[in-house]
Amino acid sequence: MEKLFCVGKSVIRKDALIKAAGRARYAADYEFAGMLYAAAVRCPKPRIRILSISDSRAKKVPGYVTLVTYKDIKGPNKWPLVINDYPFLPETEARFQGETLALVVADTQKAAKTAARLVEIKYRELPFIDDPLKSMEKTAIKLYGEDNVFSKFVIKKGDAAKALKEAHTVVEEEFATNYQVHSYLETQGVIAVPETDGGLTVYSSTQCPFYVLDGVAAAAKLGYNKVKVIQTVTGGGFGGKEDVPALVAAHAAICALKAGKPVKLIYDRKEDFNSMSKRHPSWSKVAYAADKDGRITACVVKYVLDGGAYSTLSPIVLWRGTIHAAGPYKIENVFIETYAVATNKAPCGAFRGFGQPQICFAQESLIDELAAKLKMDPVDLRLKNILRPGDKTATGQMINDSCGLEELIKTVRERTNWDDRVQNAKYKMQNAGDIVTGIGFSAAYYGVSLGAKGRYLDRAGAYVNIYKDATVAVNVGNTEMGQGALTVLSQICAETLNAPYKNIKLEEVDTSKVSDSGPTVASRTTLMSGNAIIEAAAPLREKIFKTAFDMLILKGADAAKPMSASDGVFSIEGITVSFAEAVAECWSRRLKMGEQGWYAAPHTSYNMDDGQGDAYVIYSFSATAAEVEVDLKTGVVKALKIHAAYDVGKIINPTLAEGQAQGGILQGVSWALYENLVYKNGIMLNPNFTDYALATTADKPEYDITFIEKPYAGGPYKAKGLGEVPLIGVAAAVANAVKNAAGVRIKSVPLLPEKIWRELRNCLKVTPSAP
Amino acid sequence: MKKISGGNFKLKCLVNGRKINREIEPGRTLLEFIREDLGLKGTKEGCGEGECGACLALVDGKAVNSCLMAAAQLQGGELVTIEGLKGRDGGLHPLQKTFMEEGAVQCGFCIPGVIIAAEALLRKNPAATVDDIKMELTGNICRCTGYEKIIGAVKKAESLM
Amino acid sequence: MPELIIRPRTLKELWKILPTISAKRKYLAGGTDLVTAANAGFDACDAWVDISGLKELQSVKETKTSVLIGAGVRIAGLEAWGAVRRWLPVLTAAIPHFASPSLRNMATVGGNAANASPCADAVCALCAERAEVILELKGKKRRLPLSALFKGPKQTGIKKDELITAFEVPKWPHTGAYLKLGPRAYFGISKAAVALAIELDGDKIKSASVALASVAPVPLMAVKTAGCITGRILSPETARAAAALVKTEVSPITDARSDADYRREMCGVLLERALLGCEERLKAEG
Repeated sequence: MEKLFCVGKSVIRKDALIKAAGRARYAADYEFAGMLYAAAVRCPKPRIRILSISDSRAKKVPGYVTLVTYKDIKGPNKWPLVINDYPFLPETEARFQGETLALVVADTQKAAKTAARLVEIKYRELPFIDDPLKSMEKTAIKLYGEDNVFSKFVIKKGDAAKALKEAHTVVEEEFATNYQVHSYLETQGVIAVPETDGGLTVYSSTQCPFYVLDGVAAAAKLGYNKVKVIQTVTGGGFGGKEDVPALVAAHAAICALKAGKPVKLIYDRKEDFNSMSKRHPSWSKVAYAADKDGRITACVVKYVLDGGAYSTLSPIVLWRGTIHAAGPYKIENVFIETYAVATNKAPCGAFRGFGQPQICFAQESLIDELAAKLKMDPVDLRLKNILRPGDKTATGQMINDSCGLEELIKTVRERTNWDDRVQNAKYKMQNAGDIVTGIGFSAAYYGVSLGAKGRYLDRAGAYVNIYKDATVAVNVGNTEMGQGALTVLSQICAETLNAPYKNIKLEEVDTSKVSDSGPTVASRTTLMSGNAIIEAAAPLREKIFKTAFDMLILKGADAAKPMSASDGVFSIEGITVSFAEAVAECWSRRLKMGEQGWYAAPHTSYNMDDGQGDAYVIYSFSATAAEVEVDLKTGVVKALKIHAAYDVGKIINPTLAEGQAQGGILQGVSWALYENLVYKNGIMLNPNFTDYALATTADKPEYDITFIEKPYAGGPYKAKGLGEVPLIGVAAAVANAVKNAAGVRIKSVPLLPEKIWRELRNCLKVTPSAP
Repeated sequence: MKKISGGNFKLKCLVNGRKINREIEPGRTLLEFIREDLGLKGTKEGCGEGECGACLALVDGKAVNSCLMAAAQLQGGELVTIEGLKGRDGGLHPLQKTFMEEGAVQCGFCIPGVIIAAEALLRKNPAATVDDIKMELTGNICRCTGYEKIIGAVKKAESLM
Repeated sequence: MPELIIRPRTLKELWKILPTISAKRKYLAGGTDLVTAANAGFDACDAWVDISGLKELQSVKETKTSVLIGAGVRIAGLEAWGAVRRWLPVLTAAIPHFASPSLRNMATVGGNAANASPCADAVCALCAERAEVILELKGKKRRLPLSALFKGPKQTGIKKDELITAFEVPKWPHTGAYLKLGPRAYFGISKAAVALAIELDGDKIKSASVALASVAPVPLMAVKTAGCITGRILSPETARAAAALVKTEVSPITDARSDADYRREMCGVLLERALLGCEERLKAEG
């Protein structure tokens, strides 16, 4: 492998200083002269007919400016996204508790909030649906189309029904998972500033400035060149700032246009809970069949996502879930049918893993059940069936050489001392009293970037501009939301140009500075923007390298000897020229020192009718093992240690990668064990951090993380994608560990103590005494 | 007797070492005072109900959730926000340095509050163990890091304080 | 949000100033409940009477027979007092389970009682330690058992303008435990919590009290259970008997936090563990 001076190094984050010093400016920190504040008026019930909206009482609040309703929307009242069923503001019917019905604008945040509470909504309650399975019944009231199904997909490979019938061993179970709330620490926030030409500048906390551009331009009916979206420092996203910031920004935009002043709209935590996207609750029924040697012969899945009131991103979330629903295994016969269904609850969308963690929990739990039924070790069963280079996935796609799954599994098996623990019963005997320990495994694969379903969006741009003083500004269209994009992309740029890392500055994303680069999602930023930067930097590199070489020769270097370039220095046999000197010379030669780059993902061929073809260009892989402790009396589970190994291609920054892994794992643990959003009759009961419990420092497990870098030739410096990978397999590993520890199979997430206690009690009733 | 009616509250306090005299609205929270009246934006609002720790500030040396304290209760007291933390040389505070070095910062929104909590801990317990650190930070939600590098950064800062 | 905030420095000044301000007033101490409500737009009062400056409320005093805890003492400040560590083992054990470190720097013992939540950790511990609450109104004092203060969730027998000034806990040579089950390891509202205080005579339980949080509309004294174990040997059998009985004394509900049947069962599990823990300590001490 080529010698790299910046890529692969744990350089300090570009944004570490401003964040540690408290100087980073998030949306709420922006101030503009004459700025007003907006606050949303929200739907109090799961489904209503809106009869009237009146601000006669709200008007009396000192500082009140105006009421904004759907009538103020300049363009068609449809938020452009995937299916376009979500109005910017409802006209006659609102479909979930917490939906924005209207907004008020006032001169302080407090006045706006107070006035919003005083806006009178006259409405009639309408019948509603809160259960996705009931929503699919023929007799259900219709919320969407003919059947309440936003989207459905199928994968058909071989003859799964026949294989199931002829199999030596079959397992089949139903599974369910509850919501997960992103709980980014910074709530949704935006400021819309009217400009003198009638346009708008929008400062948005977002993963996807170009989605915000789409939304604002549509609501305000402005040409895209009159709307400029600038991403503010973004306090966490995890998918929760993928699509919905566009809706929030569109609301602020119409407020700003109506008031003629800058308008700031910052969500409080409760309304963020009530109205913003979430990880879909899911229901699934999964079956695996195997021959007597433990070769998996068939997989059948029915998978249903609770989409909520509007489709938003459900179709694509569902698609990713569909593709990966059979697990990372080589299976001849597969039948998968999946549905995203309408209910009268908050619309669900993107959340780290994007429809995969739910079905991974189900199928990886069931793999352990299959192993138990076959009397095989669950790791051996996996090793027997996993995808290796040359194998074909459920969609018939051939896995290429960048696949380290086998190594990952073996690594984790070794690091957990798996064979001793699981096969040697002594471990179990050491458990005393009410507390038992156990260990569980899972494996997963992850199609990097958007894949066949989102390929029209799978491109990204970059502009690299080298100033006379050899500092470098880079504009990209993908964002930093905490994951480290600014740093990783700076490293890629520094490496390509042979510029010192400190010379590189990634600019805040501004939609007027770079072409639409799609969303910052699907672990695609390193890959997409990284490749775009390399493309932009390539001609610059050529000029700088050639100039540096000329300078070295002038300084007396031997032209026949190779020139080395590292960390901003060019040298031939001890004679050196710095990056700064080379750049200055380029400028004096009047060379073009700014370049655009563009990267579009390679084409994939995929057939939506039978779900066969190449779903994604490249896959990342993970193996995860959880060590847990279960209190047999209370059902309380503690995650003690998570071992994980990942193949995400080349690691650009090891410290950042490890941070992504640790954070993803804890989000997975937290979802698996604690996070429990409760709806009752269509009303959210715990929209707050008091009763929606997130893991704290006291709940964090130990982490044991290994990266095995299987290079991907198409990636920047052979990287794939990482962000979502660490979360996906965690819940399944935890559930398998609970089974191993306490002997109970919990088939729904979160694994609340109440559920485990109930299962244990049921077990005791059946088998009165344990040895 | 004449009823006392509403009126602004005259607040005298020390903020990051500077004397402050301000008239504030009676219902002002400390967080509003910090962010809106003083313009110190480093202190964040994450939940507005004391459940996330993003708004922590030091009042008389103790970490408090500034979103739940009435600003008037600062009367005569000393407030330190993230902007007021400095190293002995006047540069970065050791915690700020170790948070940068250890990769403890991701989205950054929780970080001012976490650093304030850690500072409060290290003031009262300069040799805090990893378990002490874990317990002291239970009120600070971080959704990005999984806490490992945060705890490591606090531990590392001890030797630099 | 109020239009007025006043900060009396003494109780005398407080009683003098009260009649001069709007009747829609509330006492403000640590702020952790009152300001939360105000932030959410649920606080409709005109004036906040900030009692956090009342020095008289901020100390712990020891008499020959009791420990007096000022209502204004912050939860985090409790442990600094030797008398608390010496005479209130259950309250001391409850402290790490009380919210978060920063909230413990703010919240006061008095506020924890005045807020009258059935899940109040400090209150539950104090109930088991047989605290009395001392209330004062315009210089007139009255006292009652702390557990008798509560009438329902968020409801107390506190009269208009009456102020909790202190808690008096008798000095009785007891040991005990505070065990809590919440949504996560720390910093959560309990699904169920048990405060146990027992006085031992050798291995015999001479006297006992059991209080429970989050399993009834008020912090609950399990009087029958305490009576049942009094006079018995501290043993696994006693612990089991107590666990069985306490489940009949509680009246938990199902809500977003947990389920009634689970909560009921956990009362037994936690009490049994609390008693077994005391037994183990007794054995260890020889």
